[in-house]
Amino acid sequence: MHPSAKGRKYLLAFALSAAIFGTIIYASNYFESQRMAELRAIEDQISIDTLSLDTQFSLLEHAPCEDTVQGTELSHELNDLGSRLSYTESRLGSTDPEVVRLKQQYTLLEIRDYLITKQLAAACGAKPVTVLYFYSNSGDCADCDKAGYALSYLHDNYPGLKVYSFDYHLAIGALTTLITLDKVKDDLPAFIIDGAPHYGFTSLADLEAAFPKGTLSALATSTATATTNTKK
Amino acid sequence: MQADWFMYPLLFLSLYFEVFVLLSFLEGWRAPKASHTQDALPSVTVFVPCYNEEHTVARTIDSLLALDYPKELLAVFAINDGSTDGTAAVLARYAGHPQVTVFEKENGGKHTALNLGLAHATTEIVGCLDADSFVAPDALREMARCFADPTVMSATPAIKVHEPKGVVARVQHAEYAMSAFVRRTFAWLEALFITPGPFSLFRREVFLKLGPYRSAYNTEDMEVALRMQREGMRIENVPTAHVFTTAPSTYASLYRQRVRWTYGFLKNARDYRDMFLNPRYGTLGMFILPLGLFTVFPSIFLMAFSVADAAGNAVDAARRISVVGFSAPHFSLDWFYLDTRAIVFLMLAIIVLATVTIAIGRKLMGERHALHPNVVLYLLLYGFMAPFWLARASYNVIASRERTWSSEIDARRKRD
Repeated sequence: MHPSAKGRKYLLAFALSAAIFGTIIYASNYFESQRMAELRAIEDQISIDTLSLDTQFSLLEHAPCEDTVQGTELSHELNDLGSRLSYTESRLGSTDPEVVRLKQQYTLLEIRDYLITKQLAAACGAKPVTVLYFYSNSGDCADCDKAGYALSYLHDNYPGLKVYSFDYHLAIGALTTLITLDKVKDDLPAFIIDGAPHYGFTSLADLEAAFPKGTLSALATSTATATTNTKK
Repeated sequence: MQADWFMYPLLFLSLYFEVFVLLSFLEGWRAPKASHTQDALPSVTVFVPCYNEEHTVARTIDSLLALDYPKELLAVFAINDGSTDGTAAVLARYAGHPQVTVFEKENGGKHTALNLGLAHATTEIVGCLDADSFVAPDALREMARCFADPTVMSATPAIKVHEPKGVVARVQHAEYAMSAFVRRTFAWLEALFITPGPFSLFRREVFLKLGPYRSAYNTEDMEVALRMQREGMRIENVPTAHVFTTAPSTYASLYRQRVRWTYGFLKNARDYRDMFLNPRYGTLGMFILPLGLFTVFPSIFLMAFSVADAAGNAVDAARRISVVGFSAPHFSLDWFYLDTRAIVFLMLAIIVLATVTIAIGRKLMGERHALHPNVVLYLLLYGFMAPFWLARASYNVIASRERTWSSEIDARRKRD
C-alpha cells in the first residue's frame, strides 16, 4: 500500500474513533443535564406544593386537616427526590457545585416539610414519629453509612416513620438555625428522635431502642406515609 | 471519577485499535485479489514435536495421514522430545509407515525438535503441527494453494478449539474466532507476527536463509515470524484451512499457557525493539507491535480498577448486611438510575466492536452462525481472566523467570 494511503487510513481510523468518542461524551453529558433538569423540575414542583400548603394555613388561619393527604403526597415526592439526589451525589461527588445547590434546596424543602408535619400534627391531633438525622460526607463520620442503612431499613419496615436527613456541614442558614435550635452537637451521626437527641451508631437494635416505647410497633401497622430518604 | 478520567485514554486506544483493524479488514476484503496459477502441488514435510503427548499424538498423525493430498508429496516427521510417558510406544506403531519417520531425541525443548526435523527435511514446504492438534482433510490443499504466489514465504491456518467443554474452553472457542479475524486482517496488513504451532507452513528456504528455530523464551513461533518480518518475508493467512486444537480446559492450565505466550511476547519485543515505531516495518512496526505491547498494561489497569470497584461495593454490601441483615437489592427501571457515564458507553462500544470482529471471524472460518453463546461467555469473562496472566508475565519479565514448554505440558497433564 502506498504510504500516503496508509497515512490516510490511520487518520480515518482516528477520525472515526474520535467521532465515536465525542458522540459518547456528548450523549453522556446530555443524559446528565436531563437528569439535573429532572431534579430541578421535581424541586420546583415540591416548592410549589409546599408553598400552596403553607398558603392554605395562612388563608384558613388553621391547619387544613382535610388536606393531610396532600402533606403525605408531599413527603412522598420529597422521598423520591431524596433518592434521586443521593444517587446523583454518589455519581458526581458531594462537592459538585450543582449537587451542593440541589442539596441546599432539598434541605430547605425538608425543613419546610418537617415544620408543616409538626403544624398538622398539632392542629389535627396526629402523632407522627419523626427522626432528624445529621450525617457528614466530609470524612468525620465513620458510622454514617451504617446509620444510613439502619434508617433505610426502618423506613422500609415502618411506613409511618418520617426521617429527615441533613448534611451537617451544608452551608445554609436554615439548617444552621435548626442545628442551633435543637442544640445538635457535631458528634456524628446524630439523631433527634421525637425531639430527643441521640449520638453515635452502634446497632440497629440500639437505634430501635432509642424510639419511645411502642411507637415503632404502632407505625408498622399504621397507614403508609412517606419519609424522606436516608442518605449518608 | 478520577479513575474514569485515567481510563479514558486507555479506552480510546482500544477503540482506535478496533476501528483501525475493522477498516483494514474492509479494505482488504474489497481489494482485488491476485490470482496465481499453480502448476503442481508442492512437496511438504510436517513436523510433529511431542513431549508427553501419548493421549493425543496418534490422532494428530492420523489426521495428517488422512489429508487430501498426494501421498508421495507429504511426509510426516514425528519427533519425540524425550517424553517420559507412553509417547514412544504410540509413535512405534507408525514405524515402517511409508509417510512417517519417527525421531527419538533427548528432551531439549520444542525448538530443538523442530530443528531436528529441519535438518532432515528435503521438501519445498515444511511446517509444524503441535501434537495436541489435528487438521481438517482439506487444510493442506487450501494452504498449498497460496504458495502458488512466489512472494508468500509462510502460511498460517484458522485454528479452532476442538469440542470445547467447560467455561474456560468455551471462552477460548470465541477467542479463537476473534483471532481468525485478526490474523486475516494482519495478513492483509503484512503484519502477522506469529506463525502458530498448529500447522503453520513455510518455504524451507526461509530457514536456509534465516537459520533454524531459536528457543526464543519458548515462543519460537513468534520469534521466527518476527525474524521473517524483519527480512521482509511475507506471511499469509488462510482462514479456510482449519486446524483443531485441544484448548486448556482449566483456568490454571490456560493461565500457564498464556503466561508463557505473554512472557515470550514481552521478551521478544525487547529483542526486536528496533522494529518498534520503525517505519521500515510498515503497519507492523508503527502500529501493531507498539499497541500490542502497550495494551498489556491497560488490561491490568482496567482489571485493577474493576476489582477495586467491586471490592468497594462488596465492602458496602458487607457493612449493610452487618447492620440490617441480608435483603434483596432494590432495582429500579427508571431511566434516571441508569448508569450513563461516558466510560460505560465507551465500554459498550468496544464490546459491540469486539462482537462484530468475532462474528466476522466465525464467518471467515466457515461457521454457519455468526454468533454463538460462547461469545457471551467470552465478553463476560475474558476481561477478568487475562489481566492475571498479563500481570504475572510482566512480573516474570522483570524477575527473569521463565517457564519451559515441557514443564507446562507436565503441569497440564497432572491437572487435566
